[in-house]
Amino acid sequence: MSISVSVHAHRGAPYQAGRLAARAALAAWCGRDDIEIVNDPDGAPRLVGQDGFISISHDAPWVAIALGDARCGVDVCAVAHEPRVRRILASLGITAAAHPCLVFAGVEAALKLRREGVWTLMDRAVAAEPHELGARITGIGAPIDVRWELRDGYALAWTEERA
Amino acid sequence: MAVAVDDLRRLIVEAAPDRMQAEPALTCGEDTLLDQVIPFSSVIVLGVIVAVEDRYAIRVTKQMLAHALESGVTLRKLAQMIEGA
Repeated sequence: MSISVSVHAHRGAPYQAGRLAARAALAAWCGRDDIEIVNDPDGAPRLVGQDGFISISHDAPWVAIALGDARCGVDVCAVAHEPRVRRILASLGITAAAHPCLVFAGVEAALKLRREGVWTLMDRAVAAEPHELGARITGIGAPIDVRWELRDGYALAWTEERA
Repeated sequence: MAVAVDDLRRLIVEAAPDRMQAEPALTCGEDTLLDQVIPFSSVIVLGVIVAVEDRYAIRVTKQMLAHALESGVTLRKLAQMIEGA
């Protein structure tokens, strides 16, 4: 499996910025610029005219793109959200010995991988167990290993798996 | 209902990372899709739900939130979710 993850700073409307960044990332990934990105009924982006999978995450001013030959999920979370995210995680019963924005991004990436909505978290059964490269997320089907990194101003998490 | 909607407008703005971007929620219609007027990200959605649980002493379940978000979330649907809790 291979996955390409990139983060771009942008100004303007997040959705349009995300699509523009996705097209640029796609061109770099597969050497073509004629690939269409459509939204499935659940809102998840899908490639048309090219094998592979895509996941997009926005959190102004960043947009993160994951492209892979297996199903993938990516999430970017601004560290400025830390107080809010800490409160949200506590309310949802998600505790982990890591930066809250990493944990939140990791859980979101796992939700995208499984194409589950945020309401899944209301079961209060999701957990994150940090390891060397990220965390193992449980409570969204079979356990999911996510990679994560805390960078300058944002937390980034991504994951992939074969269907 | 009117009280809940007004409360929700305030809670949404307070839950938003960027207050200015969320201020259209203070004046939009009760049936306006919120993600069409503000960046209704997961952080805002869950921040609002946590605030609602605290404010109204309710527990929002997976089914309640899924129903509220189905086909787009509006102030009215969030208010109905609270009333139905």
